Amino acid sequence: MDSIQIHYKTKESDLFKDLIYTLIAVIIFIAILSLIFKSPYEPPMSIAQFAKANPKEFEQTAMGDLMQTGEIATYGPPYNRGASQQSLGFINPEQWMGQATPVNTKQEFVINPLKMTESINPSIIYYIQWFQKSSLQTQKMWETNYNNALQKAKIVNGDVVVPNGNYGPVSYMISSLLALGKSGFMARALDANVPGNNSTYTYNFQNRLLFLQGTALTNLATKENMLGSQMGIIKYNAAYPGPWWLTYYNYLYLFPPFAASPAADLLVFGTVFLTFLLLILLPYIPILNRIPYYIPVYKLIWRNYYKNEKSKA
Amino acid sequence: MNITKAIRDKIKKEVDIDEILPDKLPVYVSSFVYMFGIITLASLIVVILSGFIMVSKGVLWYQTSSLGFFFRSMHFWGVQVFFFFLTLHFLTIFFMAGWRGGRAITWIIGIFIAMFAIIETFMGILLQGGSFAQWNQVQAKDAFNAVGITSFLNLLNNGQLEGLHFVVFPSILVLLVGIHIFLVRQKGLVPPIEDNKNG
Repeated sequence: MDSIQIHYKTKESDLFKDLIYTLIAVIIFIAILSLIFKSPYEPPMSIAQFAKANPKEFEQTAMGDLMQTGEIATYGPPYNRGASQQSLGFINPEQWMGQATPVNTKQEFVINPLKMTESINPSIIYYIQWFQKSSLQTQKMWETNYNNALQKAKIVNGDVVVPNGNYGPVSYMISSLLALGKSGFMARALDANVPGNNSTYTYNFQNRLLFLQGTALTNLATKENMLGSQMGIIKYNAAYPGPWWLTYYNYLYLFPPFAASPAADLLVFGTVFLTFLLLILLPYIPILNRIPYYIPVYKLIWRNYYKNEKSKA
Repeated sequence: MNITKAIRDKIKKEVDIDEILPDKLPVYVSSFVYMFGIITLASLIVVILSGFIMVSKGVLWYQTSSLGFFFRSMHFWGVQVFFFFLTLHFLTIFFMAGWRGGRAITWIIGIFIAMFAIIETFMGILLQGGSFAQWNQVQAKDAFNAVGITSFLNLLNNGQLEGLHFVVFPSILVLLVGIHIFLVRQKGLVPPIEDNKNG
């Protein structure tokens, strides 16, 4: 037992009474905050919403997935082969970990969901087979033609209308995917392809979120001022305090050398890790463990003790 | 070796119930800064109890019930109060050099509590079921991918997040907080810095 306390005079106290009274006060305080201010809730964005409000962007996203040129198709690990998003010299955790959660956007975001609609749209199988039996060059030609045509597309009654052209089965496939998107069943069709989910139970929402992330969620976040560069993580899209305890982490991203670095996440995570290591080892680090003596806040904290007890001694 | 006897002897040696639960405290304990830790603990209790109620009724109970939304709000504000007083507790203990006199382990466990609490609340944010959660899921996954954590924790896998947020991390936190409080009681509250023996 630390003998250091024995030299000090003592006074009556009741730890459990203190805790119970504090707990009651804290419960009342938090309950009042909850009743007055509630808590932040903004409905999530659904794929159906995206398909109805932005049919052209929906089809462009789908084309990126089909052509394997989209954000997720070219992401690299952990979703597919390819270069890492980030590495620092030989430090390349993305490559080390490999394809932990593989995603084939062509199959899983376009072809498979379309196949799942066969029982309500039997003709889709004909178009998919036509597409798959054609040479890769022909597929690429149709895809490129349709993708270019999308830039000149018009929206008529929520459908995307492109000028006539040589699109093979692609235009039918993509407009069928848009119809699936609008129906509200597409999220389920995307989830069905995630390893670990089955036909009945879904816990892993990876693919529905990855499909939405590029255009749909970025547009939403831009509108709500939630982008990373706007300290999005620490503030809600409503007038509520966010997770402000992440301020240090989020702040790092805004300043050099992190801001301009292509490996910003690696650098920031490394810095946060080192900061915690510093805090853990603080009692043993010279100079740092003397800061309380250099900045004598303790004199304020124990001012009564210094005034009363020591003057008597 | 008799393990039971070894454990009993260790407990006898380390645990003096009169020291652990004293009815007297040193006179230097006379500032409101001593409330910061206890308020942090009280708000943690509120967060855990509101969490118990929420998971007992199902993840999206708050979507269909105003009582559910009330407990969701209790959970939300409880976390705000928790981190507010955790920060004050951390800062005051730092300026009191609270690691003195063989209390370094107590400090270190406190830092680990903060670390686990930050990760725990981050997973909570991703499980809120709104657009803020959605956006932060796809944003944060890039950072997690970059550092290779996704092999162990896929932020887009809500099933995994739920298990960790509801069971694994709260259990670790409760254990760490228990050890932290035990050590604070066992070592006694850190005495004032004396001018003549700086350190």
